[in-house]
Formats: sequence, structure tokens, C-alpha cells
Amino acid sequence: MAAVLEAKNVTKIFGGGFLTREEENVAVNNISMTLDQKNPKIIAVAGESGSGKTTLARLLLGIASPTTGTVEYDGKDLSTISSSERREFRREVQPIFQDPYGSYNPFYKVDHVLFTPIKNFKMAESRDEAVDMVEKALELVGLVPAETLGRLPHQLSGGQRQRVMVARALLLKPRVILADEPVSAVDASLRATILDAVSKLNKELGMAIVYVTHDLTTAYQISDEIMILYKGNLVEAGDVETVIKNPKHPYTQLLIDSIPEADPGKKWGKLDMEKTQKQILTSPSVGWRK
Amino acid sequence: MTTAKKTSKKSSPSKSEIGIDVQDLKVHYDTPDGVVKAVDGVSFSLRQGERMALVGESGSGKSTLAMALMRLTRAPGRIAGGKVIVGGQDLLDIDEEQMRLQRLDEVALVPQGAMNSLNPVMKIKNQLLDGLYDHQLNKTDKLSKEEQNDIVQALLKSVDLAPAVAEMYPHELSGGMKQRVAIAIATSMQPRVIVADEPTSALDVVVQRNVMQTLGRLQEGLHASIILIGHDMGLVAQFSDHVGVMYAGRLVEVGPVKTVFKAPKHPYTRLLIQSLPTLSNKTDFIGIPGLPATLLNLPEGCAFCLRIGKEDKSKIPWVNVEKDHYIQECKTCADYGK
Repeated sequence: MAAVLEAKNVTKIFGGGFLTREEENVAVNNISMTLDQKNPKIIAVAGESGSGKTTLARLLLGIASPTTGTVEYDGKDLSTISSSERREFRREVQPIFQDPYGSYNPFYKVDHVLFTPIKNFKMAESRDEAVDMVEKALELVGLVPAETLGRLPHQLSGGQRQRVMVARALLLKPRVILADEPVSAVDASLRATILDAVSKLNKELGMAIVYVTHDLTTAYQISDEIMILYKGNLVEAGDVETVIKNPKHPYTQLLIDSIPEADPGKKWGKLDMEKTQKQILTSPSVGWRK
Repeated sequence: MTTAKKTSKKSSPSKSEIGIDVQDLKVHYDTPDGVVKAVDGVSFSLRQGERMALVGESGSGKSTLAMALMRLTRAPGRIAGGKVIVGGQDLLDIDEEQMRLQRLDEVALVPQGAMNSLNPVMKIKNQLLDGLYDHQLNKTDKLSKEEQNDIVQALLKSVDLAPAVAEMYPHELSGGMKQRVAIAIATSMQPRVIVADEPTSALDVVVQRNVMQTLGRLQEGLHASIILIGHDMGLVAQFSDHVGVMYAGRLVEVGPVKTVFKAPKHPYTRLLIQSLPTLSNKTDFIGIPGLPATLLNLPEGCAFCLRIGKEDKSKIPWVNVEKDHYIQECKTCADYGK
């Protein structure tokens, strides 16, 4: 099995320890997931605030290290790889973050975030080649290079800024893209365009994508598989069609039931809250566990 | 007691009574580059007990409109014209002190992100009573400890919060609980109109559902009109009776939720609804092309035409397409995206 990136029984605990009175907070509890090399998929990691989805993403990115368990890149433990391997990892696993404004230095033109990685990883022989690469990447996410390059971040709309971040991520031709709530700061009408660009990266360029989100609707639309997290635990996982259409775990059922659908004919919130909440605590997790 | 007096004032509400009537409301921002017409001649009315949602993208003017309804527009913004009639009185035509007394009593706001609207160093019970005290004209009938406590507990109960919350500070509450407190404050004087500006945009879906159910129940109990400002079309579809779609500071389509969602008539509404992903089937959900209009020096005529690379400078008329359902019908872009 060729896995690009694999989390093996990772647990992340914050707080606790000898000298504090703080209680331990298990942000991620014994979760395993695999991003396949041969058959790259879009995997959605979904949950509400406090579910541990962002912590899991940070573990996969190597920004945080697991308390127990390992994250492996190409079969090598992230915590022990050499600095040159880590450099390669940094190129092959690219993040897209939530706030498209926080990712920019407001004093630099947007060109900066696009040309710097090319320079750092020596991906182009000449300036012309670099420009060519950047323009192709921008076009792929539906931006017009002439209208984008040379501008300052605040001169672009939120949707454009986020699409530039997607372009930046794909510029490095990574094998994995980890998108943490890439569209939650963007207007609904622009979400489709950004998610479409992300989905293209998978379908056309064969990149494996982890889509971290609280929004089950967009997760359903673009992903192949889904993992539902609740308070650090994986409660349900599997093929997205099965999980959304036929949720087995009461928490998944509650989540789906709570989404207001843009169809006035559909009834919102059919489930009994208290009853469901009790069931959540006693139900075992559903779906694949690797 | 204040609450008792109020009930008599608004007794025997009839369904046909107008809760709020907004006529040709204009809010302008004066900037060095020119006048930004954030709300450009918006009119609508709402009967008591009805729910209306105003939707639109960021920058469409919906929050500016919400603030103007409360007359809370701040400089460089100013209300440039129009009427906001609540309880037979034009709120834009009274002095500042009278307006202050109308807020909470007649029109109340459930703010966006209640986390930042509560006072961090004041106990919840005092925040619940603050408004009541402030509006109590007759300072002589000061409430006794028991009366105060009764009011606080009744308010907390009305939003499904535990009695112990009274003694807590905002930082001890979760986001959903804080939003409930904000709702309790907003409904504490039984207003005729509740303006809810994205009341649940920062909350998780399960909490959102609970909070909206509470808000809806209270609004029905008070027979108040509610204006829900938001961009979540799903929430709008589930919560309100009527919907108004805003684009570039103007209303472009108004109608009952059921008919607007089923058969949107304005091209912008059509695209807005098409761009929504659903849970029922996987489709290519498509975004709205182009960028939202810049409100600076927006020309006369159809604003949506500009977004799709067309132009129509003629005066766009309101057209009644079916019962209670109106659109701004521009001949040039009417069939776009069909």
C-alpha cells in the first residue's frame, strides 16, 4: 500500500502535565487515516467547533506533533525525518487556510506569495518560465492573470484572494493539499467557484485532498469520502454518499438533521435533541477504521 | 411593573396590523471618492407576527439597512431619506431622546455575534435589567429585589437558560448561551419589531437550530414582526415567511419564501439559489459570475446588468409577478441564467 500521508492512531492532548492544574483536553483521540497515492481522493474531515478537525489537519501538516501515534509521509515518521526530507514534505503537502487575508502580507503585492515558493524551491530556470507557471496556475483557478498580478491583497475580493491561495498551492505541484475551511470566510456565491477549483486539482491533476470543514453540504458535493469528528473522536467514516444519505451514528444524524436546507418544503430539525444527545454518548463509531 | 403596562398597550393584536413599514429608505456613506449608496431606496412592509428575511452577498447593504432601521447608522454613514414607520410613528422623524426610548421598547436588535455585544464585567442579570431600567420613565416605582429576580428568571426561562446563568459573567457562557442572552434582552420589553442581524452566523449548526427555534417561539409569542438579516439561504428558507433579495443596496425581489425559492424571477435570485449546494443530490453547483457591484458612483439603471457585462440605463420598474411577489424587472437581463 502506497500511502503519501498516513496518520496512525494519532492522539493529541493539550494541557495537563505535572505543574498545571489544567485539565487534559484530548483534541484528537486515536484517529487513523490514509491518503492513497495510486487512487487520490478528496476526503472531507467534518465536525463542529471543538471536534478536533483543525488539530488533525495541523498534525497532518506537521505543524503540531501527536502526543501518541505517528504521522507518516511516504512511510517515514514525520517526527524523525531529515531536514532535506522535511523540505520535500513541505513542498509536496500544501495547506490552504481559512482566512484568505491572514495569509498575505498587506504591504506586498499578491505576486509575492506566488513567486516566492518558485524561487525557494528553484522550480523555474528563468523569470519568464516562472511568470508562465504563475499565469497557468491562476488561469486554472479561474482568475485572469492580468487583472490579478501586480495588485495588493486589499485590492482583490475575498473570493479572489482565496483563489490566489489555491493557485499558490497547486503551483508547487504537491501530491497532497490540505484545505482547512477554505470557503467559510467567503460569500456563498463564490464558494462554488473555489471548491470547483479545488475539486479540479484532484480530478485533473491527481492530487489527494483533505477538505476540513464544518459544512456538510459542500463536503457532500466535492468529496469522495468523509470522516465525521465529534469531540476528538471519529464517530462515522466512509463513502460520502452512504454517510450522508444513510447516516448510522446519532451524531451524524443530528448534524444532517440540523442543516437548514434551502428548500422551504423540507422540514428542519425533526430529531428530538435530548434523546439524540443521549444516544450520541453511548453509540460506538461507525465505518472504516484503518 | 413595566411588562404589565406593555401588555395592555399592545393587546388584541390583529394579523392585518402593520408591524413595520419602510418607505424609500436611503443610507449614504460620504467618502473622499464620492457618495456610496449602501441602501438605495428600499421599501417594504411587514405585518405583525410575520417573518421576513433580507438576503444578499457581503456589501449588498443588508447590515447597513438593519442598523438604519434601529437608527444606529454611524458616521461617515447617514440616513439620506425615507421613512421607517413603527406603531404609526416615523422613527426617522423624532428626536434622539425619543428614538432612544423607542429602541428595545418598539424596535429591538439581536446583534451579529452576541459575544461582543455583552458587557464583559457585568453579571447577566444586571444586563437583562439594564434596558428595563433605562426605559422606565417613572423612576419612582423602583423594582424590589423579588420583582427584579422574577423578571430575570422569567427572561432566562423564556430562552431556555438555567436560573444559575443570572449570576454568571459573559465569559462563562458558550456562544449559543450568549446569543440566547442577547435574545432575552431584545425581547425583554416586548418590542413590536425585532431586527436580527445574522444572529447565528458564528454558531455551529446544531446550536444554530436551537437558537433559531427559541427566537421563533418568542417572536410568535409576542406577535412581533421579525426582520432576519443573513446570507444563509438555507436558514432563510426554513425560518421566514417572506424574503427580500438585496443587490447593490437595492431590493431586487420580494415575495413569499415558498414561491421565491421554487420559482425565482429575478436573474440574481435565480443564480443565488442555483449556487447553493444541497444534500439531496450531487450536481455541478455553479457560482455567480463576475464580482459584486461596487457601490461607489453606481450608475442609474440595472445594477445586476453590470455584473454580467450588460448595460441598461432605463428606470427599472417594480413588477408584480404573482400574489405578493414582486421583482425589479430589467428587460436586458431578465432571462439571464435561465
